[in-house]
Amino acid sequence: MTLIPRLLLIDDNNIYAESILSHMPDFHLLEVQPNLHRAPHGTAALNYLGKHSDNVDAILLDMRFDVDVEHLLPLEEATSDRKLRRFQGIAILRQLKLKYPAIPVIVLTSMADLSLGEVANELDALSLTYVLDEQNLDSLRIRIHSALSESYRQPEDGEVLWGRSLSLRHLRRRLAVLATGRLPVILEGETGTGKSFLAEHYVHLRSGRSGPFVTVDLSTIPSELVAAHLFGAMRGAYTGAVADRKGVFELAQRGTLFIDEIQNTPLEIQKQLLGVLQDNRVRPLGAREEVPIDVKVIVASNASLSSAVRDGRFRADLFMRLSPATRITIPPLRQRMNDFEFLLQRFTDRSSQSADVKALHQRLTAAIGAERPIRLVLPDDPTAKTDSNAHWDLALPRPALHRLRRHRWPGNLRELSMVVHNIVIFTLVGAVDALEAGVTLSSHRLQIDPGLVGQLVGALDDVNETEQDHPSPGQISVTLEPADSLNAVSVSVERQYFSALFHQTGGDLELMADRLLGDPSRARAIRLRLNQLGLRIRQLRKE
Amino acid sequence: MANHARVELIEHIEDLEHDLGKYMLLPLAMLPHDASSKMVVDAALQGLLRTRSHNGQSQTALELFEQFQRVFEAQCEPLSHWQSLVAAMKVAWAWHKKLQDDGVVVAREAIESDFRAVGQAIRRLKAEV
Repeated sequence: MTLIPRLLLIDDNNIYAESILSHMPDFHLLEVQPNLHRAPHGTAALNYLGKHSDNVDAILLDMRFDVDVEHLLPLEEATSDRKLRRFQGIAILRQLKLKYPAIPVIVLTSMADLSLGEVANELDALSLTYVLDEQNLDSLRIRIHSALSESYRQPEDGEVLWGRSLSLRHLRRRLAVLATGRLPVILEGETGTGKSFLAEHYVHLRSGRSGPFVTVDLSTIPSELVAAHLFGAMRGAYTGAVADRKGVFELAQRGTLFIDEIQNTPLEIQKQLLGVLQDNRVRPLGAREEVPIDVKVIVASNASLSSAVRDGRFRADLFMRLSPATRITIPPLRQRMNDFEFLLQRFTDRSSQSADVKALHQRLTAAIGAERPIRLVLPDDPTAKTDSNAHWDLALPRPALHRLRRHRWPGNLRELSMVVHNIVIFTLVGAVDALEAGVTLSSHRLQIDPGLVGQLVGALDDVNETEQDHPSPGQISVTLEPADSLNAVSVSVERQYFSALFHQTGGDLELMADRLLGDPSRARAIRLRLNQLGLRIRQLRKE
Repeated sequence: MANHARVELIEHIEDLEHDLGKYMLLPLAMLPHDASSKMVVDAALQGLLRTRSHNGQSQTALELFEQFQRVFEAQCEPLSHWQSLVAAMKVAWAWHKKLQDDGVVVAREAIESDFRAVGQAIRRLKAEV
């Protein structure tokens, strides 16, 4: 990964800002105001986070703030302005944990320096909160890295939940809690969002259960065989049952059963499923005895189960037994565009480990006689100039990035993975062909052809358009309501349109500017128009 | 010492701990290991001469210490750790002249050690109070 962690510094003093800017190029200190790389007090910090929280990977927080009283956040325990200033960091920390609990906070003080005895327990109890005991560069660097590694997913979690957006961080934390409990888990999400991967790697592997992870996709099983598949069957229980067979509940004993496409379960099977979940016992077809089971159940659906209940296609009692409070909705890729560049690089890294890319890589290495790993270089990537001779740089031009971002990605991560892999392959093939034809490359920077990118996603657009028999995810519906004037109708339509587009792009104003104005750099114009329409971004993000 | 006077003294010692114990040393501590002599000198002087800044005004470490001394010396005089704090402060402050001499051999570890000694002395004093 070449992305640089982004830090928000909340500090009334400039020393940390100067040190980080001068001596820690491996971190990006966010500019809160022009030429000010810190929020000088809690109010400024909360204002900044209200607009840019998705851009913040970690927060560095001073404890004492020698600022004017009007900038101080209230603190119940502070009996004087002096105490309010001394423990202002606690007041800020409480707000941060209330509003942005998934962002790690490093408190720039030590217990010894500030006699924090009375709040030490509170600091200890807050998750993703760290105290910087040793005030020096190395300790700070180590502290930031450890905080980030706990807040991000670890590499073995794969790319599915990788991402920095706040929604993903909340989702990860919820899953971590649900993994250890006894309750079933409902996963909802479009195709390609990684539900089964998530069930295995994030719930099962963290559940502490000793049994296997067993998966069953009910959309692939003929309806007459679903019961036998789920609950098992004795020899002769039905035509073709030539031997006893265990159902997936028994196979998953002391482990986890992942039932995919649960919404496809026939209604009569749903009733039996309810009984199994209630009694923790299963009776194979044709058997006299029930078998006790100890299985954690995860069900997945690519459509809303509550809608299926309303439509009468899914039993309400089964839905309630599955504990809808534990329902997790995995956002589609188009709603997590803040993570898009991050995911592009993850998939490039993964693609470079595949056998076909490795083979091409070896041919490149043989042609130039030196081993250089492959990396993706994005437009304006601050790391692009570092170690440029040590890598094969696959440079993604800005128009190609815009083309990728504009695509609707109905196949989500699966689709993105395929497209990135193809981009890597085709770009390397071009370089290998050139080298083997005797062409001398002037650098190790391989430009990705924007035309290739256009072809790859354009072909997918064609497929999607022909295969869809329902409104595409890119479509936006608005309601025309009677109004006193044409202008009022127009404003109403525009408000609905902007609101829907905001949600469709995951609140990415650059992407909205790209779609509406053809220029992603005009995000400010979009922000202005949202304000004029009375749409508050903070409110939209909550909806 | 009456309890309210004791509480007030502790609060002011904690202020001193924050200003001198932390901010006198911080610019130096936040330098990389391979910092040049000039960087070390600049950071040490920043810690001594611009120790506390508020509303565009800055105070030196000595000013901050003397401010405390003027108000609380009588209360601190009987305490066994007061004189060691005075001595530690004297040693640390002496660096501001040495560092402005041309040709001074900059010993970063020695400066850090002397600055750190002030913070340690303040904490000992606080514990005694």
